[in-house]
Amino acid sequence: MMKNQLSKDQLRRYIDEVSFAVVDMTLYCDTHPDDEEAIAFCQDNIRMRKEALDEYARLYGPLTVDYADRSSSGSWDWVNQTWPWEPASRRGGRC
Amino acid sequence: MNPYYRNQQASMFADVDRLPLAMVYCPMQKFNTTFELSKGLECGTIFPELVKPWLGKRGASR
Repeated sequence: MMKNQLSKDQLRRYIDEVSFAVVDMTLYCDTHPDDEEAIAFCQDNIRMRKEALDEYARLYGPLTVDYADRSSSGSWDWVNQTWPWEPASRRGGRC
Repeated sequence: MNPYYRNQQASMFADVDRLPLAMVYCPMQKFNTTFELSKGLECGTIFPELVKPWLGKRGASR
């Protein structure tokens, strides 16, 4: 799913949403390890999360070090990212 | 409290006095519908049946 119609903050918000769904599905699957429908749904969300993280890394820089190899700028973008606790205003977004 | 929830609670606890003391139970959740992603993050769960907003107050139920 291409998310490049989203703004930086919208894409970040989507990553938060889909990441939460992955966490919640992980909890469910831990107690229901043979529930095929749930596992498939969990895997869908894991894939969607990876795609969004990949796209965010390409457009704005990596959010986790797993995506630090996606940059096309030629510099080490990882060190220039805002920290998770920095307010959205300093990321150039709303709030 | 809405009447549906009151009835559900009444039947849920109908046999509770016959259970052994100090034993804990937990019904197994079944995979059903899930919220849209944004709603799930807002509610703190992607499962509609697990939305349990706190309605009491300190030291007492409402």
